[in-house]
Amino acid sequence: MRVKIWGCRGSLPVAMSTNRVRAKLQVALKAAAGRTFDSEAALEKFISDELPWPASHSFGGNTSCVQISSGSPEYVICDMGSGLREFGVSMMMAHGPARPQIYNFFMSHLHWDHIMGFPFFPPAYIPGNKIRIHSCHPDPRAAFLRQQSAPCFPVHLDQLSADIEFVAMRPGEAISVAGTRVHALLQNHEGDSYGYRFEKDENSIVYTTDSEHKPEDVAGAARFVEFFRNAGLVIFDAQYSLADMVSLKEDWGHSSNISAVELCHQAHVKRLLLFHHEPAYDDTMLYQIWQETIRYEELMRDGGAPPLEVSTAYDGLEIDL
Amino acid sequence: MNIQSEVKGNISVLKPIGRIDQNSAASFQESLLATLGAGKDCAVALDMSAVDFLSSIGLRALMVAHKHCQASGAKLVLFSLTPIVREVFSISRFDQVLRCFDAREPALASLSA
Repeated sequence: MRVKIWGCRGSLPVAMSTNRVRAKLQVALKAAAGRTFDSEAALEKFISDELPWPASHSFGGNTSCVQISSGSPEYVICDMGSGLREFGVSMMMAHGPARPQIYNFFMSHLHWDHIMGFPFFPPAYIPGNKIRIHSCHPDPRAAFLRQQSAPCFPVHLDQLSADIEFVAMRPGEAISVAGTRVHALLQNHEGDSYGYRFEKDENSIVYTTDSEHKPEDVAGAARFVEFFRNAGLVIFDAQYSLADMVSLKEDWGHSSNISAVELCHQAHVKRLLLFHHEPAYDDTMLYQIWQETIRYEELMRDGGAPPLEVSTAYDGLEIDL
Repeated sequence: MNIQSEVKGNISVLKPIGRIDQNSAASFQESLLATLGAGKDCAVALDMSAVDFLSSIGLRALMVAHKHCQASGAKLVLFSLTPIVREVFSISRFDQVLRCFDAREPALASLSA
């Protein structure tokens, strides 16, 4: 199985400002210290090996959109944040308008940052494409209709040429899609959200975003530990610090890197991917949170337990399981 | 979990010993809130020198106590955090919310001021 992150941000898309670009350039030029590079390869090596991670990378700014590939010709995508636009453009480049495809979406919930990419998804405008939108919410079409009707957007939902179907899912009733077995789980978020577990052979990927894990909710934690059990990868909403999560931002529906490590340790997860990043944080802050989470995992790991690999999502990241 | 307590003037010094985790957080929180009481004259200094592990539910217990203080006017400070707990405070950003001191004397002095 393979995961590609098309959008890793929470709440709102963000763009990198000129000031932040210039700050990265300053770091790079200082690190180069007047050196010259006799080839593109030498320059690439310098960027990869010698620049600090936040200077040579960017987390990107698109909201939640994650592609899960399992070898099937059908596509599987979690959520339709602003990252969906770039995924759609890549599909048009790969297949053009003449070769219809099947797109299976799994919606964590219907808040704006998770559906805003759909009006900009070119395959939705192409006749012959099949778009199946799986959701555990009672009337997902209403949210898409609100988004694509006057005065919010000029193209009405009913004008889209693709064959669009809304597929009802229920927690506890797994379905088979694109060669994977998919399970859903109710999560704690305003208006409800749902996590999804995708299984194929011995591999499993859990997509769990917009989910608040209250430290005192022992029964809730047990449900998630079971859902995460032995997963190869858990993509986890770690938008807030724990201090924010249990104080100022309590009941805002998001979680922390601390909760992520605790639940993944209990569930013997192999790899954790921090996700749904706070839009107010820049690359330096998100990198710091990543490094701190790696350290926290080390501090909290039971002696003898295999390490939980801690990664962080950024737009364009690909992970093979 | 064992919690030692001592009274110094109008300041209560609590010293929890061991892990503050799923098994002990509720009793720790209960003891802390009971000692903080309901009045603005209450002050608690938490000696963290014997706490070797603190999970998220333990951190939450401290946040509940902090909120209690904000509402009642009582005061809470911590001192002598072990290196690991200090790191956990930093990673969870609790060090930006709770008042922490390196040693007992400045912690108690801050409550007397």
